[in-house]
Parts: sequence; structure tokens; C-alpha cells
Amino acid sequence: MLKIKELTKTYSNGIQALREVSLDVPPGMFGLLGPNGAGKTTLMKILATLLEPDSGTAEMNGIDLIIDKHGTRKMLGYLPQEFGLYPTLTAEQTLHYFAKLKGVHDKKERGILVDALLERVNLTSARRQRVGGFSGGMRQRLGIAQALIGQPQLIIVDEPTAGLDPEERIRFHNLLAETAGEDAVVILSTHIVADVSSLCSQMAVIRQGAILASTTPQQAIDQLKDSVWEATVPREQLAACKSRHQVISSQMFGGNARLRVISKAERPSEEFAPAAPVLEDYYFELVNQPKRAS
Amino acid sequence: MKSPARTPFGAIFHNEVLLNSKRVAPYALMIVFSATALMGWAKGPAVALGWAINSDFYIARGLKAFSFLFGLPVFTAVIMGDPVIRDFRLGIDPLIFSKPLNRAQYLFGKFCGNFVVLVCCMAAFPLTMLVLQAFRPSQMIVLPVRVFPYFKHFFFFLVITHLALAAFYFTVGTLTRNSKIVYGLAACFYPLFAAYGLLLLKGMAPRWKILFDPCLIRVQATTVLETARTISINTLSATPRT
Repeated sequence: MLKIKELTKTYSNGIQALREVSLDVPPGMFGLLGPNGAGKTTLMKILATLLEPDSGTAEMNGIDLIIDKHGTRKMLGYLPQEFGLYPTLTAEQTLHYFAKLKGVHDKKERGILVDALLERVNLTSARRQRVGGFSGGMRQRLGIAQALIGQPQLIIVDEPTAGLDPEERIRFHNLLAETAGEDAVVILSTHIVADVSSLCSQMAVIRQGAILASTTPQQAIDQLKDSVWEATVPREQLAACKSRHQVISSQMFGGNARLRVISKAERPSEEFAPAAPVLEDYYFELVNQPKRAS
Repeated sequence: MKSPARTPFGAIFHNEVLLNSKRVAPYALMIVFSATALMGWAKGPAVALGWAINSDFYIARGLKAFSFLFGLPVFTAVIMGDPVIRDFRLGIDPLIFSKPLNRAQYLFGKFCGNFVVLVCCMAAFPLTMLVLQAFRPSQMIVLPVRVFPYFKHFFFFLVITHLALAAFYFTVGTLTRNSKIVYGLAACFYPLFAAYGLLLLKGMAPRWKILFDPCLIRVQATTVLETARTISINTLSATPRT
């Protein structure tokens, strides 16, 4: 269990990225959802020992992640949102390098480990290919392979599927799901709700540096049971609908607007039909609340 | 005690050597340095002045000149200036620094790995000189084959001198993370050095000179300039008058 208590971070330019963030993250896949600029990457960097918080603690298996950086890094696998690799090295050489940095110095042991990782991320055929010639998906898979070196207990992946095509995204999901089945804490930071709904057993929503909710995807959906309504209205009526109802999403479709609204007490109006709630409804409802209030 | 090869330092060191082995610059430098040694052998002052090309004196003189002239201080910047900058430019730093290593191991591994590559490049010059002992064109004096003086003078005049320079370029590159500043400093090396010599070292007592010019670059430069003057005087005196 990873326990985060009251983490606060303000950058030198005055932007408060985290405001007393507290979370309990159990083993398994944990989704951290939030819009761009919510503070996800800041939180991930602090947990990955790359950034110092102003205050607060984070502890896992008796190790203080803020103070004991060396101990944390030994049990950590980190895939940042943006990362580079040496373009002239091959996939195999890259993994050998990171394995040595992780403390796997025995050549034979390292060779077996690298072979297994390449097999796991489906890069065995590209093992002697230079990383500079890799596609985005191959680079991400090599990135996750380096994060899995040394059987880490805490795996942090920050926006891993951004920019991947649908096939690569599914492949990457399967890879993460396999990893989560090994008693490790896997934190998936993303703004793609579908990634969380298909992968995570627990989730939290962060916005403007504060945690808005921490729950399971199923509980989140259950909260909206019998409250979501859907209608297709002409474009001209969109503004009026938005002012009358609590709209959670609107999508333009063939000159009309497809609206999803929340109404817990009763049917909003004649044109609305009940709809099955999805995680996206919960997310939009949550992150848009203060905006509507303001 | 743990072998350095089995530490993060060893991993960084080995990786730097591997990365440099895939760059063009080290091979290009080796070719340039070998060609310089070949030119010095073929067109240098040895034949004109009757110096043995593998004498202790001639080897020391050649390596001093090589250490200071022919742009070697600039080439040192090419190899030593950007190893850390490269990691930040490529964006590989978060992957490295999330592994269990400290910054000292990282920086020391980077420096040593690149300096070894630089030394290997520079070694092309004395190694070419060493090999050229085997060839004896007419009028060239060659003593019995010797090996040790090449290594001795290489170590003192190149390795030690350029260790200080390499440390300087590496530090500037690491602190500024801007390769343009490093290359700018490298380009300014000769003007800066000339100004330093003229304004500061010229009037100093020898013991102070050693303190302010520990790499003896000024001494080397003076030696090279004296050699050039000697050659021109000898050439002029040997030219038949019409």
C-alpha cells in the first residue's frame, strides 16, 4: 500500500501544483485522472524522486519516498510522459544499460532478464534495431520494458498511451494489466477516461492540484445510476439547453448536438431519454462542477 | 570491495564509451591526428635540422606542439563539452535519475568515459609516430626502435594537460547545459590564451609562472615558436645566395 499524506508543491513561478494531496493506493492498477495541468505529472515526479515537495509524506513498505530516495529508486519503475532514448543504441543495448543502472551486474543474469523483457513487450525481433528508427509504439514498449527491470513494487506510468494508435494502445493496456497482476502498485496517470475504465480497479480524480474523489470505477458509475439523460437537439437549442440543464457533455453530430445531462430527481424534459452512466459522465460531472458553480 | 565495473559508475562509463564508438567524431579525430603525425614526420624539421625522429627530444617536442597547436584544445571541447547536455537534450534524464544512482556517480562516469575516448583519440598521434620509426627515408636519422618515451611524453604532455582542460569544458557544459557556450569558449581558447600569456604570465618570475600555468601550455607554445624560428633561420642560412 502506498500512502500519500498532504503533499504540497508550489513552483518558483507561484503556481501551486499540489494542494495537500492525500491518497491511499492499494496494490493493483490505480488510475489518476485529471485534465491537463491538474498536477498529475507533478505528483508522479515527486513519487519518482525527481522532484521535492514543499511538505507532506509518501510511504510504501516502510520506505519514505521523500527522504530515502535510493531505497525508493530500487523498488521503482518509472515511465515518464515524455522521455528520450539514445538513438544510436539498439533496444538490447538500451535495456542492458538500464539493467546495469538498476543493479543487475551479472552478465548472464542480465542477458536472461533482457531477453525476457524484450519478449514480454514484443520487441524480440527488433532487438538489434537502433532505437532511433523505432515507431512511437515501439518506443513506449521499450520504455515500459525499462520500467519493469528488477521487478519493481511501485510502477508509475505517466500518460503512456498519448499518441499511440488504437492497436498499440490495446497492446499497451494488456502489458500494463499483466504487470498489475503481480502484487505491484501500478499508478496510471492519464486524462483518457477509457484507459482507466478498462484497466484500473481503483481511481482518483485530480483537478487544480487537489484530489476531488478517490473511488472504484464501478462505485463511480453507480453514483450516477438513474441520473444520466441523453437527447439529440438542434444546434440552435444547445445554448438554451446548457443554461437550463446540468450538461456533462455535448457532442456535435450531423448538425445536431448530442447532449448528456445529469438530473437526479426527475426527467429534465420530454426530449431526454434515460442513458446508462459511464465513467466519462462521472469524470466530466466532477471536473466541471466548480466551473458551473462559478 | 565492490569492483567499479559493477557499480552505476561502471555502467555510465561503459555506456559513454559505447555511445562514442557509434559517433563519427572520435574516428574523424583519430584520422586527423594520425595525418598530423604523418605530416610532421614527412615535412617536419627532423631532416632539415638533423634530428633523430625517435629521439627523446624530438618525441617530446612533437607532442608538446601537438598538445597546443593543431586545434587540440578545441577538439577536447568537442568530446568533453556535451555528454550531460546530450542526456537532457534527448530527454533521457528522468529514466536515468529514477534508477538507484547518485549524481556523483553519474557525473564521474560521464567524465571518465568521455575522457578515455579523448585519450584514445589523442593516442592516434604518438602511435602513428611510433609506427613511423619503421620507415627510414634517405637523410632521416632514426635511432634503434623505442617505445617507452612515446608513452611517457604522451602521458605528461597530453593526458595531464588535457585532463585539466577536459574538466573545465565538462564543468562548463554540465553547469550551463548549453553546448554553444562550451564551443564558444573553445573557439576563444587561442585568443584568450594569448591575452593571458601577454598580460599575466609574461612578466612573472618562473616559480609564479608554474603556479599560474600548471599545464605548461605557455612553455609548450614558447618551445613551438622557438622551433619555428630556428627552422626559418636554418632555412634562410642554407639557401644559396644568388
